[in-house]
Amino acid sequence: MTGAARSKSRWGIDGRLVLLLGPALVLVAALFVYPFLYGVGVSLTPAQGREGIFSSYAAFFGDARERASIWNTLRIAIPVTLANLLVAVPLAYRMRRPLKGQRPISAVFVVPMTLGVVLVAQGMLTFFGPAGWFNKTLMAVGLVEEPLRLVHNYVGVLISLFIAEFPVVFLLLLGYASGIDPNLERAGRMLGAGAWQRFRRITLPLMMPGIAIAAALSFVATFAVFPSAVLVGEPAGSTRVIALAAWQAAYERFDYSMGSAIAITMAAIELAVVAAILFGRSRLYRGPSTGGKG
Amino acid sequence: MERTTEKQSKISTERPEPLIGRLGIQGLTKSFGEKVALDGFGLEVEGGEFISLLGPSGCGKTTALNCLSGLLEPDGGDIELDGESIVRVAPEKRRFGMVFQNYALFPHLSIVRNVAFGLEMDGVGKAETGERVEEVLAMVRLEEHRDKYPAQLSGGQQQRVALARAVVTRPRIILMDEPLSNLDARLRLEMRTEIRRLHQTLGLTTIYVTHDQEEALSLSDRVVLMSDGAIRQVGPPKEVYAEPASAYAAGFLGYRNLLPVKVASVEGERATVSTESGVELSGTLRDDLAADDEAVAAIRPEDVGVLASDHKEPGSVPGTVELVEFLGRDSELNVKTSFGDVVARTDGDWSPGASVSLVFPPERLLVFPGEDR
Amino acid sequence: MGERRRSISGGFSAWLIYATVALFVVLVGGVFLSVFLNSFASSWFGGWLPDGFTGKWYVFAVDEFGLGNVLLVTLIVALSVTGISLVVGVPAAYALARRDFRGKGLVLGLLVLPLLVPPITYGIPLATMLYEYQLAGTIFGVILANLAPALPFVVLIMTPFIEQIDPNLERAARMMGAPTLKVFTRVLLPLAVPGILAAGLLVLVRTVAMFELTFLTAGANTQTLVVALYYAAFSAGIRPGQSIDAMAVIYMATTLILLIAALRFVNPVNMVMRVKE
Repeated sequence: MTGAARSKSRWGIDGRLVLLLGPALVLVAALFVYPFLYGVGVSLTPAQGREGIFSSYAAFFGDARERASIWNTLRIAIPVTLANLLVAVPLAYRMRRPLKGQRPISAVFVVPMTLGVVLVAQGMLTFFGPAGWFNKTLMAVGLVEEPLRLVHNYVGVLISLFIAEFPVVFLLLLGYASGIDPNLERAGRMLGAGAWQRFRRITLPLMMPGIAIAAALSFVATFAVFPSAVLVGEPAGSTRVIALAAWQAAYERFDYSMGSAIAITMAAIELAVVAAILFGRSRLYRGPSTGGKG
Repeated sequence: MERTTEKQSKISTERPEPLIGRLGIQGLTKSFGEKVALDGFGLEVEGGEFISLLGPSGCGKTTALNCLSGLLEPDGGDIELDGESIVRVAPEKRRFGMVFQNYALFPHLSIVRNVAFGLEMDGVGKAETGERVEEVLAMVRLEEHRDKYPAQLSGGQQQRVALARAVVTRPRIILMDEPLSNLDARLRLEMRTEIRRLHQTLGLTTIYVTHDQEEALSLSDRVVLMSDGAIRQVGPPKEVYAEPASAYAAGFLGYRNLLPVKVASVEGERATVSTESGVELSGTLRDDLAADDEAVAAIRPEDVGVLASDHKEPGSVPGTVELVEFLGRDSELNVKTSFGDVVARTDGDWSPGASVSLVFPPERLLVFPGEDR
Repeated sequence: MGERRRSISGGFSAWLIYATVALFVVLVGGVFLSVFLNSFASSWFGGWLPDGFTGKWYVFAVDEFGLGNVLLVTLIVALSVTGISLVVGVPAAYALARRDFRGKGLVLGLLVLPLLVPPITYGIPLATMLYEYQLAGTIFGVILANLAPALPFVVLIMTPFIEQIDPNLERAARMMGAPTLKVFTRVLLPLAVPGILAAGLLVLVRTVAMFELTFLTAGANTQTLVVALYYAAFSAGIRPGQSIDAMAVIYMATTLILLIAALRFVNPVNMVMRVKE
């Protein structure tokens, strides 16, 4: 970069760069990195009569009910993520050309995403409740005899998370799908590829990076589920998720060591799954999604 | 296979048998809302011919090509291949090859896999696929890049891969949509030779879209000049070059001087025309015109004679040199005359401000009716 | 382009698309509509529609949940977070967009990391830390906590935006003798304004909707609207459901107004963050 001569170290860092980036880095370090490290430290400090540096972790993994929260959360996160992908991929594929309705349709999806999970959960209690419109309609049409139990249980959490997360996944994939050069598919047609072959051999591989990212984001967001597990789930039973376990340890039992330990465990699991997803996809495809200069 | 004598002089006798007999296009029409993109496009193409669709942006050449490929469905008209109508056939079933302006190579596949794609779609066995891919890669001299990915190749190399991918399936027809437009000038010339060589070797029927008249003239057996969705002139390059059928064609093919004139008198093929400033010139009629008709007189810069101002030949026109562009062997002069600017090319040595006499040889000054854009 | 599609499968998959979108719209719309109607219901005992309509629940909710204070807190927190993250984030984005230096990848990764980790994961340690510094429960603490994901969000949006502003414009201005500050205010800033506006509005919307961080760090009277709503929903046995829904509608309205404002500047597809690899 040209400009007035400044003294730069070999690394390209100078006073101006520090001024521009410094405050941001300081804030992120103070509000994210430090708390994280601090949390690790707290989690390794024995508390509440336990002894040993890993005692909080041991207490968490040692207790069956606490340990079950991991499984409870996976039982929620994985199906929702899969459902999101299975519905969003074909939808995004079909909508990849600039449709006339694309902006309003995208706006429609953005609304639940923005309003957030708390509102969706609260609304679900009325709409999906035993006396709500959903059950009423099903019974009126004759599909069911008795109202379905869709709230205050596992299913309620699934539904609320799907409503909140699907738009994110869909819009992300739509962005990816429409970023693929349309000439690639035309070339495929001219070379004799039918619709399914074009999808499988051309578009899907090129969407893979986006699918991987969407899967990672969706998993991470659903694995951290908290308010909807409480509001429309069974927080004492099947939907006692790991975030709730952490919160209860810290805020109900004032066992900050265990609370931090559970939070760190949560982060570790998320990291492991994301790494697995990204590693898996880098073995499948690399490169840009345009077909060359042009 | 025997061909007509005009074509024989162009085609080397080594050209292989073409894969089709005849492609017949009749009355193709296509509109996008209000805009009429194609207005009755019709053409007969013989197997093995190299046809260029030439014209400026918006003339309908790309629309015509897309209708031929099947990627676009025309509103009306028919396309017949050896007597069979294919206008309703899906593009993936037509067995045509296509080369795109932006190459459209699959970025996630290696060069080999890219080229082999069409063969895989056809269900050709692994062994045969391997052989044919190697053969065609050798033809475009890219064998050593076979395992690379498109992003690692230069523009020219990518275009060669696109060509290889299109021809390896032995398509009945090859369609090319301005394949050289994205390349720089020098590469463009190299690739032109490449395309010419490929056509010579394989003899594939080719429909080539371009806005560059030099490309069209150098590559084609026949040039199809288009404007506003319709065909204006069809013919072998020599003919179109020397005998443009309209002022529009002339303007597109290098007749940079288009002078508005009025016909003064007509004698057989010769006409005397007068410019707005009253200067009288003698030219060759290219259409039926009579005295008092509005007309356009067209002449190429290289046909305009430039002499010193004391040379007072009959019919010469005085002028002043305004601009001189040195082009090596020749210079291009912008000469101001009583009826406007004239562009002339000459190997003489002139400076701005010089007084000259311009000579317009009658057989090189073509006179067209004056309605054209 | 009137591109040709295989008529049978094309029609079917299109129908499937519209059906899915319609189903989603119906479900989500139903959820919101029932909340909306219930908030105006004098009572609703299991019929298709409320038994009667009234606006009293809104007045009730404002009193009962202290919504005046809650809205004020929400406003202060959201505006502060937006302001600070823009002031700190835009220069950082500029540095990342224009400058190359060793460790740049690491810095970028670090700045984006808070967006990849769900808030509750670092929220608990963050809340504990704020408690140690006696900031727990204060509005300052809430603002700090919400800055953690907001700042990276601004950087993530603004960096590619600034990247696509032609650097030659700045160079041209410099060549014409403009000092750095003038280059910034007369050339860069005007061009960056659409991006800044979009980023600001998006951060505002996100912060208003951000639950976990405020939940973990707020005190009794420093709650934002979404947290207050959560607590209210908890007390569903004690308080009338209609008042809770009235509060929910107020929250919906607030967020929707901001969202609509944001959508005028941003394509919804771009609202979902694109994580650069």
